Amino acid sequence: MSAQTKSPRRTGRAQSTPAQTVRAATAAIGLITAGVAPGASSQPIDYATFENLFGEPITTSANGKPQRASDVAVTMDIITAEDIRRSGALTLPGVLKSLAGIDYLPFSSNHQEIAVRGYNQAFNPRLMVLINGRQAYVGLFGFVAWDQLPVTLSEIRQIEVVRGPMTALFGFNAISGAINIVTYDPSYDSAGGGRVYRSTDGDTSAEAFVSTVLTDTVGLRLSARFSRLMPFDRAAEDQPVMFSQFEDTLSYSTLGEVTYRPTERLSLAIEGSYNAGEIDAVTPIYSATQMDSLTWSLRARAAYDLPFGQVFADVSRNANKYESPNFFFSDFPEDMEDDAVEAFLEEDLIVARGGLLLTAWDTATLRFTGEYRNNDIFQRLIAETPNDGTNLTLDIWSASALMDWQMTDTTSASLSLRYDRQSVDKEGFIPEALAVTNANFSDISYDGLSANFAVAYRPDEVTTWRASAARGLRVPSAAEIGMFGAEPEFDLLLAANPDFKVTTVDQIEAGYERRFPRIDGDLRLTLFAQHNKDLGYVFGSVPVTLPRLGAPAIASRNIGNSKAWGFEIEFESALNDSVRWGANYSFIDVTDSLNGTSLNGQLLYPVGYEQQSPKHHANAWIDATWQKWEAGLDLHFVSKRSLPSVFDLGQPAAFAPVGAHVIVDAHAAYKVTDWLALEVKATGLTQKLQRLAGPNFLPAERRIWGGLRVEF
Amino acid sequence: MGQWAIFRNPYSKVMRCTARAARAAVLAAVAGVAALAQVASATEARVLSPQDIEVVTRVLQFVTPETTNTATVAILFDPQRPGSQSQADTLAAAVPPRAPDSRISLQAKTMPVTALNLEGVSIALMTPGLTDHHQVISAAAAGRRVITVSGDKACAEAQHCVFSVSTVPYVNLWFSRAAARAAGLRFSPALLMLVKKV
Repeated sequence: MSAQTKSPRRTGRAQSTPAQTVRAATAAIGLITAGVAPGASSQPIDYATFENLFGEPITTSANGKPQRASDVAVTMDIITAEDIRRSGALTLPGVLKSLAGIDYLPFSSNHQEIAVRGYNQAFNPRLMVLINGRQAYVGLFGFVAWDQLPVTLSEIRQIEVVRGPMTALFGFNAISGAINIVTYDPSYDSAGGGRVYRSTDGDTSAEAFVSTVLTDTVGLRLSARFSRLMPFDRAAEDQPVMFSQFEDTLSYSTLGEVTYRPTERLSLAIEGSYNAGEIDAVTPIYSATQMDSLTWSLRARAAYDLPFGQVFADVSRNANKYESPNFFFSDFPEDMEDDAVEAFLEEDLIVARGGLLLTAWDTATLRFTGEYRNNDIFQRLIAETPNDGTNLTLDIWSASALMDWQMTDTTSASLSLRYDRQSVDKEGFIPEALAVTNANFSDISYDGLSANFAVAYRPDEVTTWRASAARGLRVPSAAEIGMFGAEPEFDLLLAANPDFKVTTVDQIEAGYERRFPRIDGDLRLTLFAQHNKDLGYVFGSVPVTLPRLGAPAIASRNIGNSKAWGFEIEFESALNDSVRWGANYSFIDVTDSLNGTSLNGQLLYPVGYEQQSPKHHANAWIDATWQKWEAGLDLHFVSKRSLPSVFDLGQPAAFAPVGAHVIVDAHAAYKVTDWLALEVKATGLTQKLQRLAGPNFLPAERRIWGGLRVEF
Repeated sequence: MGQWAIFRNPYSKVMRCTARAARAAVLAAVAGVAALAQVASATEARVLSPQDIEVVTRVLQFVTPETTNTATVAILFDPQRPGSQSQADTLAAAVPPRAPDSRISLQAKTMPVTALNLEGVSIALMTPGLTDHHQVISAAAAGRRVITVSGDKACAEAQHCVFSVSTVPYVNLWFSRAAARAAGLRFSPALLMLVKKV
């Protein structure tokens, strides 16, 4: 693949109707006037000033109101801009992989999966990712296209990672955790910078951003990113044929934001982003696909300070489009541009939120949030499907309430509840051989209550005990309840399942934290147990006959239950102003009770979380600055696991072992001036090739990168 | 009730001895607590550090309406207390010329509590040993939008100071809403969500 053969600049088909826009606007106004409030992650706050005041990062992710990192009752990591710079990481998954409880699974040079506390898979649907509070995952499958996120590493102020079910706070995809990426805010921050790198394998990565306070009332943020990534090694022996067709991928991204603060109390912001790119992806059935992607977003926010709190509203529209000659089969044409008929996925998501934060009491904060989501999906997953595709509309109404209560000087508690109701409307193609009709899906609605309860006890300034209980919900993705197709050549049907149920995740957790001021150290111990009920999987690899479908089909299905327990031990310290180090170890033990994944020894669904979840992860890192020099070393250990492999749709899956491995990354920089640094980075330093996803996927190569970093 | 009934049992020497011992222990404990309280009162009086002062001056940014370009920082001392004025002089020297991360210039001046005049003052820092004067200072600050600050948490708890501050080992700001209201001060809601209300 080359830049010429796959243009990322095609126009998307996803268009919202005027009615859709009106519905969203009405919903937003209704939410505000009704006094129902949005997630407070939309609130503009001056992170830098508060961080300097309190000497530690500030977050709004844990319960919607600004909190000091040390006051947060949930298990949260905050990665600051300095942490990102000193980590030497080149990508967001690269930044995240060193955290305790995180599983990093790289399938290709631009398809990596991140999971929190086990259960990682291709197109992982258990994680919620937000950029400044805007949901940024792909609703079609509920997964995160990390390489397509419209954000540059340079413009990130901090990344907030919350472990455990968080749907009551963040929405229904956050059943294993949530990641909120907070960028510089042009209302407050004047900053800028960029990076340009080139690797020994020919990869190119460039990004730049500026955030500037133009006047006392107006701020502007602009950013742009470009990358051309080479595929993992294709010359290694024993490669499956389909992955050898992975080629270099291009990705472009731009973003603009204008903020306006006409008064001290009122803040307004509008934001738009555009992203186009190519992805070498591994699908949920572990086949290879090559996709062109196009994403754009628009967002408007308003917040108004009241004498007793704050009211705010947030409306965003996010369109994603993916095109491919084939999402499931490996017979890619040589030149994708020449392929007249393509499969495609399009979604047009509108989210309107409104909210009220009440802070009138000295010891309690209340937050009420309302959210409306309208997601129009248009898809033809199989190019040869003899029709114009399938339309699906998902409407979701949510209401949530949160109370944060400082019970005594030493004890605080937080309770949040969220109710979601999703209704479905479906039109378009359903294969005639199936017994279901569009009406069967249009009758469906899903609802449920998710909750988080956390208590923190701080007997002194350096000790914290935490306990929490949570229930998270994952409502079915668009693919799981609305995708149909027919593959004439292989005589296969692709079907959604009208009996698909909501997945619930219950978790209890206890934690202990101890700070060591003399060595600027932090110790954290966390113990958790969780139960997953009615886990769902989007596609099987072999046709199955489900009760209501009436004919064998590759279908979505609830595959059973699974439970897990584990613990995490983390320590980090700054030896002095220039040397910092940290280490963590995570253990998880997963026990599946899956009942729908295999038949007569054949693996019908490519999933087995016991095998897929490594029991042990360990990380150690150190970085140092000395005069004009910076250097860092990062070790990442993952114990053995097995991952499913499917060589083509219609064939049973099989597990293949992935050996224990250590990824060693290193970097060094020399500051030529206060604003310019020369950098060298190495990923996978110790081995030329590493099969990080097993024998059936391309091995990751050692890559050496060199380039420039600018900061001002 | 049941346990006290045991103490009244005239037939049990063992119990009487136990009761005497218990009373003695309680008296000793009370005396100990009182002594500790006295010691605490005497040392109430943690001297504000340069870090404390930096934190307090940062708070100026969150006062609404916004503080004007120049803010006066008064360091209050008790002229009748030995060493108090020199402590005030030291604190005045630690006040930076400009509030960090802002355009607000700072002017420090020392002020004896016997000649309080908080007109035009933005921040009033208290040296140790002013506990007996807290109420007077609070009254002098009323309605004048003065942020009264002590290194003693009890000052905010008694609603005499708007903030009590400590920065070792970590930053702590205790906020008295009543004292702020009395002084006629308003702060940004975000700040108030981050400080400890007492």
